[in-house]
Amino acid sequence: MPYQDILVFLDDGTTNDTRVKSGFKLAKQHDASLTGVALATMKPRKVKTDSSMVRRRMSQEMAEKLVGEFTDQALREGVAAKSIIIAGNADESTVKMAHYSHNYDLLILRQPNPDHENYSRLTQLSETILLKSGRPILFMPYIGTEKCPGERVMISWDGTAAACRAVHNAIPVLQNASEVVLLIVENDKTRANLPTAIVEGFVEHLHNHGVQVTVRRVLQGTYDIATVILNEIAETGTDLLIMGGYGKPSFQQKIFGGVTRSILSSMIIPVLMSH
Amino acid sequence: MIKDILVFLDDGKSNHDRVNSAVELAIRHGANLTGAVLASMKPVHAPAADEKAVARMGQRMAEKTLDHFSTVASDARLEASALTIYGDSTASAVKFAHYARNYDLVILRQPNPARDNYLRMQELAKQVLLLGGRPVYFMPYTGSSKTPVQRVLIAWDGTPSVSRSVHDAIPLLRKAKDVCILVVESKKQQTEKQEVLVESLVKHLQHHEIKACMRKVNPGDNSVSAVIQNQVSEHNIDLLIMGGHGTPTLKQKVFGTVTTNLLSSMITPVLMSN
Repeated sequence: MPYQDILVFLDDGTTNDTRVKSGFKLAKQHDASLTGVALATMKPRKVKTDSSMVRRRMSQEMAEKLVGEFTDQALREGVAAKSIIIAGNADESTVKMAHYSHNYDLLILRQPNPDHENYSRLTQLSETILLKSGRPILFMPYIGTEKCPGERVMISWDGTAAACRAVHNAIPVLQNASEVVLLIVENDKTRANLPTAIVEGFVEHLHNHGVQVTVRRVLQGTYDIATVILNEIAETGTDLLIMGGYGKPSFQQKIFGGVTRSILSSMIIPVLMSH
Repeated sequence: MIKDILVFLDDGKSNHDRVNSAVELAIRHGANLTGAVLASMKPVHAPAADEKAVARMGQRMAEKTLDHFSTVASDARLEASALTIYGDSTASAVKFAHYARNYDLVILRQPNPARDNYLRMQELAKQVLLLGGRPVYFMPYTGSSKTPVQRVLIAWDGTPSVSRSVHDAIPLLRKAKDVCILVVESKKQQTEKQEVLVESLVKHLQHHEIKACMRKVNPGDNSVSAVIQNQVSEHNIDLLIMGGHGTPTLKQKVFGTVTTNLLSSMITPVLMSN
């Protein structure tokens, strides 16, 4: 199923440019329409004022400016685009955005930067949308990225439902990739969940979708899984990681599982996740 | 795109219709079909006393079922493969779910509360929905001889799981004749925002070349599942799409109330993603 509608998150961060560019590039690649979404209550980065009224006005102005720039760029790029400004405080705007997300095939968000004061808001946004939208999310790294993701793709495959959904949702991206690696970090759990016959079946299934994958098995050893994945990425020059976004739903506070969280906070390449 | 379909086989009455629907869908989408049978499934007519005998009969039943499946598939000139899954109730359900990940669509049967394999079929449905991560197409236990996926109803409640179901079903929807989005108005959803969002869902589906209509129904005193069932029979629906909801904290209770009601009383195929 090709991507027809893509949603991209807009803000005033330094990586907004590359994020929007990737959005346009993906939209063109898949002949999709692109929607830019800005939050009306996101505090502009350089604002230093104690007056909440001034801050609110400046936030609103910033959202309008972002949307305006996005629309101009869409005209220049010749991509069908729309824009949305979402009002409301942190919680409300997040829930609203999750609702809007239902009507898209792919969402492009940014990785939260722990050094910035909007870190907790962006983390909450990412987590809620991942859980409540049911759609795949492409997280762009906060250090930015040069190229459009999706040339050399790595799938972190652990045979869970979330990873399976992530891969199926990413099939349009995988079909355009020049290299796809199915990475299995071997430990007791994956050995039990991923017998050779089933992995072979999965490779064949992707082959039927026109996607050629090479399987790569790496022993976990004494490292944690996130470290192994990050090492593999650095070694192979991967520009897109695909994985499941897990959680422990019983603890609402801790939505992300360990691996998801460490990858999200330390990733340096775009990551595509589904819950 | 649907490239691989997995269908569950057994010796029940509805097996025939299930296999026919699977073959029909596989041909329509140019997909490969795999039939899977559980080796430890107790045959319908086996006496329960002698465990060894039941196991032997189960094995023989599995072979016979696969034979029938291969014949139907080859008569339809369809390339099909077969799979036998071993293990007890939970182990085989988990294995089935693991296999399910390698497919674009999984066809199961609705558990029949009047049969002694009811719990086992429920376990299978639960594990495949929870662990598989793929859309599950439940065939009713009464069977369904209609041509599959012509008139589709989407029971839309704006949850992540129904959104997933709809997106997983896009390849099916594109080949359907008639697609309608049903919104049962309840207090929870009676906001203008929802209306705008459903309209934009109609547009989103249009971008995927699916022409969908929207129907809003006030439930009055009826339950949501009753409203959905009325709509299904009134409009001669042959596929209902809904989210497989549940309370994830209680692993036992995978399905929500509406889902449970519909799954035990439906007379039409239902497509769900969790």
